[in-house]
Amino acid sequence: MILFCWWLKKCSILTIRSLCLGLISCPVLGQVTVPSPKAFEQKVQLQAVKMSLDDMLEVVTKQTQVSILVDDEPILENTSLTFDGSLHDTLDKVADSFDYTWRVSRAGVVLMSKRFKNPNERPQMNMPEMRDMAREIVRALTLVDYIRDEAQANEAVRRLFQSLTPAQHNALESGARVYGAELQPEQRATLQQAIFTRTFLPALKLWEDAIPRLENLQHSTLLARPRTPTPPTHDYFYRYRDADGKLHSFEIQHMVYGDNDGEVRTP
Amino acid sequence: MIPTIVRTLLCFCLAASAALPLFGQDSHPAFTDKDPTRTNLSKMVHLNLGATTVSAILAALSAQTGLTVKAADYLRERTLIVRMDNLSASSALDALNELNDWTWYRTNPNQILITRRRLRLDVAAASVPRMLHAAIPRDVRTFLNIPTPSEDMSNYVNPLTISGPHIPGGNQQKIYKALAIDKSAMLTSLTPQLLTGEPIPYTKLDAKQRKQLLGSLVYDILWQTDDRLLHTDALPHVADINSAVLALHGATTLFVGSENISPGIKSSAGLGFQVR
Repeated sequence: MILFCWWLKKCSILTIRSLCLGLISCPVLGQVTVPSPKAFEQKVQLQAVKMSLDDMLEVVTKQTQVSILVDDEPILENTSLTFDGSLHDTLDKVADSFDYTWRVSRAGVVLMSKRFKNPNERPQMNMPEMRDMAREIVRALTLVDYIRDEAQANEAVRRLFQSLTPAQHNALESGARVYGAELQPEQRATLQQAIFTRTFLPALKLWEDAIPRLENLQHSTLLARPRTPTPPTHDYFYRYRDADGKLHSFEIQHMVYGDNDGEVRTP
Repeated sequence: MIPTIVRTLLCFCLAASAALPLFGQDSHPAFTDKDPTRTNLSKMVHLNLGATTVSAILAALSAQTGLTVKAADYLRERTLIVRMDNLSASSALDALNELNDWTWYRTNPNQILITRRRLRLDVAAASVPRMLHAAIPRDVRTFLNIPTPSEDMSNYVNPLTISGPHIPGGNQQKIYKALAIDKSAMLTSLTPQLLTGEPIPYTKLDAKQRKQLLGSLVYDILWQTDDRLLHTDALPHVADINSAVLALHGATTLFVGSENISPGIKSSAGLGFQVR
């Protein structure tokens, strides 16, 4: 330690900084071999005829030794691509063809994510992940306390309004504003609860209802019931039984999204 | 000339920053010298698996390292294309995390668990929208233009500067389109069977129809969820009651909300309570 301190005094800052930067880039100690920008300048030859994204990436990784990780699979099953250029430009071309973007991870792995420029491309949806999402959204929407009844919240604000001082009433009647900071602490608390109720409760109800729908998906059924005999039209229902055996049924509206953006009609 | 003490401190800081990669990501617990996890995480792995699931990737990773790497059950079915070769197991795990906004933990010696990344935010109304955004998988967020949730609350997404939920070209229209397409495709493909009047069990649907049904359910709920909750931070009056503006509208409705007054632009958003 004494020797180390003596050495520190003797060395210039620049020398020490160089040593530290050397340590950062040392693969043995850092356990990370990040490809240098030059790695993305290496040449790639790609002659793909009706090739899937995976097959193209296999060619690219064999030629360059760069690791690639892709989210999901593209809706476009295959395409043809002939290209001779740098790895960087090849990744641009391949990603663009399959509607992806790419970036490099801290450890130097090429990460490809969908960009959703193609209107038919979709994020992946797996039942367990969607169930977890619904549960987490409910957890987020119950992070703060509030009244779980919109009518009660509205009534609380009506009472709060009645409790305002004559000066505050006059101000409001004359078109002026009153600010939250000017209210009494208990009035602020009431108003805050009502705001939370009106802001978060509608979404909370939706997502609370979503959880059993998603949890019971595997035991659900779809059903059509005649609506009109002539012309024959039908209503469609998604149905499931909850843990108590109670049947829940809600309508699935049959919608068609028109070719012109924004045109939505019900057949 | 830099004083000796400052120089010494600077050197220590630089040396410490240089050593950081040794310990993996900053969210991971530091391993003791005797912990085999660290050695196994530094093993080189070969994951030329092509199109596969998270479960299969982690099974291969476990087999090649001696670690037991598992993902939370809700992540196991996710699909990826994997062309990763000659990299350390920890780099492969970090890449998975970075791609999807996940995180990994050492739960026991030689045991690793991958989960969704949770935000560490105060219990406050201002945190609610960000926690909600963080609950949504990264690819769904990208699809719906939902901002990347951050723990830095100073990076504020102002709800008063976004367009309304039903403006053509907005995010809601994108959700509605996805909903309409999934529902329509599923019902069209099922119509002949449905018209018999017999219920069709989920188990009788093919893989595509199952995906469309799941998509229909999820997009339906997203469609009905307030656009502002999905895309912005809380309005100022929701985050801080002191900033709430109260005004009387039409002698019967108390407006409680936020106002944004900037040169040439005045916008407001809030709630109306009937008080008379």
